[in-house]
Amino acid sequence: MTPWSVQPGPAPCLGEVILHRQWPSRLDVKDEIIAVLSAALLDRGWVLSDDEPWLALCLDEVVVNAMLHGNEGDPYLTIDVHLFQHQDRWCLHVADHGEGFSPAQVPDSEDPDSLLLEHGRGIRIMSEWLDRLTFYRNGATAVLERRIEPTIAKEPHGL
Amino acid sequence: MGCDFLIVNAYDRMVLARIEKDRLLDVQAINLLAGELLKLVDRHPKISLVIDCEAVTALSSAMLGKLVALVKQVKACKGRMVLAGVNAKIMPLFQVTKLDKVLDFAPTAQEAIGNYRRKPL
Repeated sequence: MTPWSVQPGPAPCLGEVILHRQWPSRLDVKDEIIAVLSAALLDRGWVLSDDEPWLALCLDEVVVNAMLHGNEGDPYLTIDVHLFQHQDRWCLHVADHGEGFSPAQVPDSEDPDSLLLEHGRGIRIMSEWLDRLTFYRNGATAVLERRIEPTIAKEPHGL
Repeated sequence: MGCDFLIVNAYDRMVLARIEKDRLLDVQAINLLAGELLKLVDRHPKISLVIDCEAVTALSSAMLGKLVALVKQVKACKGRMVLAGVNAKIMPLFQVTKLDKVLDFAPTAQEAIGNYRRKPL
């Protein structure tokens, strides 16, 4: 499992911007967001097709968190998404308009007393697949990072 | 509104609930499904609930939370519950969240039903 952390400052914008989009905090556009971001990563060969379920799951978790927790489901607030390429990694920034969260609010997955809680597993699941998971602006910007798959990197089609 | 991707066959306290949806990521669908499953627990005291997950290839942490709520309700009502036919793609989610220690699993729904029939509550 990758350790995760919450930082007070803004997320560092390192590398080349591959994609920048804003979407309203509406769950009916969630599938579109996941499709756009998945295509950006899969079509470049940065994520293996075998890992598509993990990618979709991480995107689902981070988008739903930003919409429902960060923006409290307000459809007039947006989530702001940047995809960067930095050296041998891709970095996805997902920013909301909330005040963030305290790490103390997230149940410890290693604590047996947390096993029967009905929430708090999203970060644990994302940490399993990502190389690095960091929350900036006290949690209002999630940064997902993973190494670009080196052997099959290719030019994207239709992007 | 009913849940059109849940097929339920009930005989006495044995209930087979088959999920006919591959991706359990949509919040509304998850809430609908969880609501229907909780209703089954209310309707069948001391339920033996077999949830056939064979069709499911993706699920979110929200769905895992609903399964935890469901198993707590089942146990509070002196029942039992098993997830059958869980796809190898999603089994790691139960393992990394340690829910494989909380929930029961069976390779197939038929095997789960057979096990429950051999050991009635």
